[in-house]
This record gives sequence, C-alpha cells and structure tokens, in this order.
Amino acid sequence: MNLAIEMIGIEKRFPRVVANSGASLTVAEGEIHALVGENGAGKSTLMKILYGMYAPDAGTVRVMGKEMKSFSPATSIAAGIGMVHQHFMLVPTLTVAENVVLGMEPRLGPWFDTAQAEHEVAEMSTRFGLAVEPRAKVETLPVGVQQRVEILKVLARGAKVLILDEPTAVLTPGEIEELYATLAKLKAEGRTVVLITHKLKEVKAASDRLTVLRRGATAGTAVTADVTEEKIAEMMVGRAVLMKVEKKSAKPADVVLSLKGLQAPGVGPVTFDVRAGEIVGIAGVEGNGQSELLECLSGLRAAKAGSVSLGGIDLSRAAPAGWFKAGLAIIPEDRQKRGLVGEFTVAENLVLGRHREVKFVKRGFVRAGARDAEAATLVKKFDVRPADASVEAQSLSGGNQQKAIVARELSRQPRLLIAAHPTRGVDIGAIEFIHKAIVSERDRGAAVLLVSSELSEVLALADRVLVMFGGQIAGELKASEATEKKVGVLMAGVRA
Amino acid sequence: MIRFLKDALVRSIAPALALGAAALLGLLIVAVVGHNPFAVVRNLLSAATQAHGLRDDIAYVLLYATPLIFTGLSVAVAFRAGLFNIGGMGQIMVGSILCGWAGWKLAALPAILAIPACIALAALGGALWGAIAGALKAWRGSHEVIITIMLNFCAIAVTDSLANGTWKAKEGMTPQLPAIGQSARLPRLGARAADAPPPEAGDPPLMGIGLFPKHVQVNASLFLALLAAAGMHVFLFRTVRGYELRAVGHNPEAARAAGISVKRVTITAMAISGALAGLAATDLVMGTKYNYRQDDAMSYARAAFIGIAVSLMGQNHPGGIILAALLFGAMERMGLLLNDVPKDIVLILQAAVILFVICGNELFSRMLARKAATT
Repeated sequence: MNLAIEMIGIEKRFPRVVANSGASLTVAEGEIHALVGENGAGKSTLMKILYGMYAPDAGTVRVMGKEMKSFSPATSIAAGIGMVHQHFMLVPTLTVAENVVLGMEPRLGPWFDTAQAEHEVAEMSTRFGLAVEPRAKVETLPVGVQQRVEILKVLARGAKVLILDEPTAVLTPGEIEELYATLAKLKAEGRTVVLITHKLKEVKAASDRLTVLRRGATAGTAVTADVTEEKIAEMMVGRAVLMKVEKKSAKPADVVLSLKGLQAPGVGPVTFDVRAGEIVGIAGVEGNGQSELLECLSGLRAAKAGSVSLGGIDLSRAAPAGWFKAGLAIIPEDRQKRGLVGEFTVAENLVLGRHREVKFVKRGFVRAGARDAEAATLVKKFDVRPADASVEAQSLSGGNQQKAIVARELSRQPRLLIAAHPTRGVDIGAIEFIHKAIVSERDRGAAVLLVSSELSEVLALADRVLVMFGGQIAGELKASEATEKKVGVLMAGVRA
Repeated sequence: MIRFLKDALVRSIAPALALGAAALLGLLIVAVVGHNPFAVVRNLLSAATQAHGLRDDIAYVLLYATPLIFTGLSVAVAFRAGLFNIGGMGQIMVGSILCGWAGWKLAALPAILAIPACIALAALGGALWGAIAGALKAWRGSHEVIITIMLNFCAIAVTDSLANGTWKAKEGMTPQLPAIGQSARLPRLGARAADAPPPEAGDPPLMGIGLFPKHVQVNASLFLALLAAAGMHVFLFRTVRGYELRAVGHNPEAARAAGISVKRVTITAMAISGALAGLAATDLVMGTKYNYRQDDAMSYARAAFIGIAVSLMGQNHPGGIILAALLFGAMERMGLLLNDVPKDIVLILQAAVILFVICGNELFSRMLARKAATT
C-alpha cells in the first residue's frame, strides 16, 4: 500500500492559540479517508497546510512520498492536491465547460476554443461518472450538480488527492447519495479522497478509514467498519456522548401558534397549528420558503394574506416587539445577521431584546449590575466560553455565539419557542445540551417550532414533522411514521 | 478603571501616530516649497510664546475648539446610530437664527430665563432640521447624506429670507437680526486687567477667570460643550435609549429582530445630532456676536464639516472628540501665527491628519481583527 499523504507531528501556532500540535494524518493511495473533529479541533488548519495556504511551524508533510519543502497552493496543486471548498468558487454566468477550464483555457489562436473545452469536459465527465452538461450555465444548475462541477474543476487540474470540505452541508438526501456514488467512482479511478466532516453518519456511509482530531492533536485513527458512531463521537469529544435525545412522549395541550392560509412573498399559503407541549419540526432543503416563513413568524415580514396568531392574539400585522410581548422567543437562522450585535459585549447581547424588562431598567438607565448578574448566570448555565461576559461577542467562536443566543432566548421563558437550525456549527457536546434544553422547554409547556435543514435533528426532536417544499407544506407526518426515506421523498418535491 | 485606561491608551495609538506622520509630511512640504522647516518651526514657537503670549494662544485654541466639540459630537452621535449627518451646516444656521430671534424677543427677561430659552431654541432648531432628514430616512428610505446636503441649501434659503425679511434689523442693508438682549449674553471666560478703565454699558460680560485675557471671545458656551460631551457619554453608554441607538448602529438587522424600532431610533438619533450642531449657536450668537448675521452664520457653520474630521479622529467617543477638537483648534491658531510660509500649509496639514487617521484606524482595526481571529 502506497501512502498518498503523510503528515507527521504537525504543529501550527497563531499568536494566541495553538491550532495544531502533534497532529498526524496518514492517507493511503486510493482510499476515502474521513477527517473528523469538533469545530476548532484543527481540521481546517491541517488541511490548509496540506493545500499550502499555511506553512507548519514543525513537522513534515509528504505527498506521494515526496517531502514538501515550500508551502503555497501552487506547489500543492503541482504535487497533485486539489480542494473542493464548502462555498463553491464558480462563476454563475459561465457554462460548465468554461468554469472547469477557467485559468487554463484551450486556445485556438487568440480565441477561446469552446469546442475543445466542451470536449475535454464531456470526456472527463464520462470517465469519472460525473454527469454534467458542459454547455449548461452554472447558475441554472441545482446545488448537487454545481458541486460536481467543482470536483471536475479540481480533477481537470490533475488532482490525485481531493480534499472535500463539509461537502454535504448544502445537499438533499438524494444528492448526498449521488455524492457517495461519485466518491466511490473516484476511488475506483485510483484517486484519493480526504473528507472533512463532523457528521458521523457521513463518516460511516462514505469512508474507508478515519482520523479524529481533538484540540489540535490526533486523537485516534481507525478503520471505519470497526467503530460505531458512538465510539467516534467519544473520540471526538473525549467522553461518552448521548447520541439519542431522551424525551418522554409529548402531551400537546392548547393551540399556541396558529397559521391560517398565511401568505407572503416566497411562502404560502400555509396553514398549521403548534400546541403547547409539543415540538413541531419543519424539514426541507434550504431555500424552500423556511426563511420567509420564519420572518413572517417574528414580525420581520408582513403577511400578504391569511392570518397568524400567538396565544389567541392576532399578529398578522405586528412588528417584532409585538411578537415578543405575546410570548415569542426565537433562535434566528443567521446568528451573525439577526442574533447578535458583534461589537457588543456578551453581557449586552444576553439582554438584547429583553433590555426593556423592568429588572434591567431604572428610570431609563441601564441597570448594569442586574444585567451583568443575569449574564454571569446564563454564561455559567449554558457553558458559554470564555466564561467572561465582558468580551465582545464577535470574539467568540460560532458555537459559543450560538450557545449565547440559545441562553438568551430560553431565559425569556417563552410561550412559543422558534428554533431555526439551533445547532448549526455547534460541537457535538453542545448539540446534546441544546437538544435537551429544547425538550425541557417543551416539557415546561412551551410550544416549540423547530426548523432545520439537518434531517436527523428534526427526526430526533420533533413530535410532528412538516415538510416544506416550494414555499408550501408538502406533507405532515407523525414522529412515529417519519422515516428518513419518507421525509426525503417529500423534501424532493414529490407530493404525499 | 484599569481596563478603561488601557482601552483609552490603545484607542489613542492610531491617532497619535497619524498626527506624527502628518506633522512630518507638513515639514516635508514646507521644505519642498523652498523654506527651511526648522526655521519655520522655530519661528512658530517663538510667535506662540511671544507677542500676546501663551495665555492668548490657549484662549484662542479653546475659542476655535468650542464649535468643533459641538459639531464633532453631532457627527459622532449619528455615526453611532449608523447614520452620516453632513447637514450640520444647515442645523447650525437654523439653530442660530432661532437662538438670535429668542435673544432679541426675550430681551426683557432676566438672564436666568433668557439664557435657557435661547439655548433651548438653538437646540430645537437644529433638532428639527436633523429630524426632517431622520424622518425621511425612516419612512421613505431616502439616504440621509443626500437629504442633509439638500437641507443645508434649504436652511441657507430659509434663514436668508428671514434675515432679509420679517426678522431683519431696521438699520442698515446687512441681512441680520437685531442684537440679543444683555441678559441673553454668555459671559467671556476672561478677567479684567487690574489697570483697565472701568467697564462701560455695552462691554461684554466677563466670568473673571484670571487665566484668560478678556479680549479673546472664548466664552461660557465652552462649558456647555463639555457638558454636552459628558451628557452624550452618559446617554450612549448608560441609558436604554443609548443602548438601542448603538445596537441599531452596529447591526440594524439584529436590532430590528430584537424588537427595537429602527425607525424611531433613526429619527431620534438625527434629532439629537441636529440639536448638538444647533447648540453651536450658543457660541456664535450668545457668546461672540450677540446677534444673528447671515454672513457670519454662513462662515461659522462651516465648522460642521471640520466636525466630521473631529468625530473621525476622536473615534466617535466624547472624550476623544474633545481632544480632537482641541487639536484642530490648535492647528487653526497655528495658521494665524505662521507668517513666513503660505497659510495653506495648515489646510494641507488638516487634510493630512484626516487621511492618516483614516488609514491608521483601518490598519489598526484590521490588525486587532486579525489578532482576534486567531484566538
């Protein structure tokens, strides 16, 4: 067995943080290798070193047996390394062929040789089983196909080792299956694949071997078939992790949130209820009206038709303040944009939206003491790190920012909790914690509406599952009958 | 407290470096246009310490700094709400004419009533002019920069017609209002010299602070400016409204999602910003000229534009703004003392300071961001 990649004793320090120390990775030629770890475990840094974007402070890197002396993307590409970024780097208005050959265009005299480019791309497409239409414009293609174009782009540059950064984040279950098939074809063609991910199911489904990183160091490596998901999670976190959410059966009571034919640009008409004491999950591929629905349900987007009420109060025309007054708490979709004021301290953020509550105000002045006391309690209870509420919120990692938002919203003791992608970008350990907190809100008697593109999350938490497609509810399933397959079919737009 | 001092120190690094760089550039230009920079500095220093002496210089610097504190605060409070108010000029003019009108009409009132009334009208005039821009922004989505520029022209037209028409002083051709009453005048800081002749009826009132010469017009509005700076600090960092204003300035989306009315904050912030600019009228009308005169007001209101630079240099912080206003005041005084080189050098110096501060701040914040990103 020849080794495609050998990274030994890698160390990379930044001014105030050690990203990698004692990190090692050995990948055999022709295997699919999963690189797993929590956020901040050093996966990206390690891969950026391999791709030549950073030079390591210590350690050796060998690609196909040859030691890398200098580090730059150009040298790495020349050595046969290619990277498929999480956010595609395609020109939407160009065709597939034009995108693939970008930067190394075939020429016919001074002109771009379109026929040759299309021919080359078509040939590669058949060879690797990556079905694409070379003349199609990239902007017209679904996300899954765009990803194939990215992979082709990397292959066209002669990559023998492909690094895929969180490739399934934007895909439907069906597209994910297709990606797995593509990876298998690449392997059959003798290419090596490194898959960066934190989704354990993906590791089990797609990889031959895996390496776990924890706090910058290699925590272990294993043949995928030999380890369970639980075992991998334990290696990632360093302790046993509860994989399944424990919850009693729901006791739905009165209707709290009620939508009747609600319609707004991009969504509707939508009709459904959420009762106190139940979790209703909305599954769906991103961009099918979930964002618009969430905006309607917090006063950020005005309804064009239909009505929506919370606790019997009609809020069809209400501003956000009206929603909060009626008992809403919302973990927003985009924490940078809507959830936090980055330049504010964590303490200031922990009262954002609650800042006019009597306990935080005295004759128009901020009660800094009460605010800081509340912040300290929440930081402790929700394990926000660092445990110092006087730092700016933007200096926190994504996962800790999310924990701060969850802490703030749950501290409202809401009648209705809307949780949009509550665990996006959050570590496994924290996911477990947030899930428990959401379930305990339900048990306290809150109505919970969960919107998530992470199907497993919806299935694990929801008592009822609604599937959104094209701005409408494509179907409703009881938790007991909601299987990944059934939901997946609805997500893809096949009507129930 | 230590944290506060450390913060203040860190924040002043970039402006201090920029100032040094601008000074070097200024000397370089002096050399390029054919003067000996060392001689120029020597002459400047001797001019500053001779003649009327350092006492005069200090008084003049404070005089020039007074409107710059008001306008700097005005720009800063809008900046904090994410708004760019370049309508300070119009706001000063409207504030000034109302202030002058009140001082003239209320001449019979005692000082204890006349002075607060005049101050209130100065603030109200500016607030009104600012709030128009805020309201158009909030309700119609018009960009505040365009609106405030247009409102500057509107203010010139409105004040001009008033000073030439209904409110015009009877005597003379000059567009101006009659003088304000004695009771509405703010005293100068200075003290009468021991050997001076006895005061006459029309003499300006004095506070009698020995440090200041009486012939310099620096007056009690300076204290009002300092008070405004303190008030703004308390408002921004201690009150709920200030918190909401800053939230809107940093992230309007998040503020809206948290139930804060961005529209209301926009209008309030522009009104406060306008009020602060309008308060500069207390220096012009109540402390210096003792009446509203169109051409005086027009040239005085240009301080609003320097206020943008002051706010920038002071990093939108009340304390920083006071320091920056003093610096710009000092540069202005320097321009009057220079006699062997073209006075334009001061303008170049001001421009250089602004440019270097912008670049310095940007570089510095990027540096801090990079440091934060790797922790």
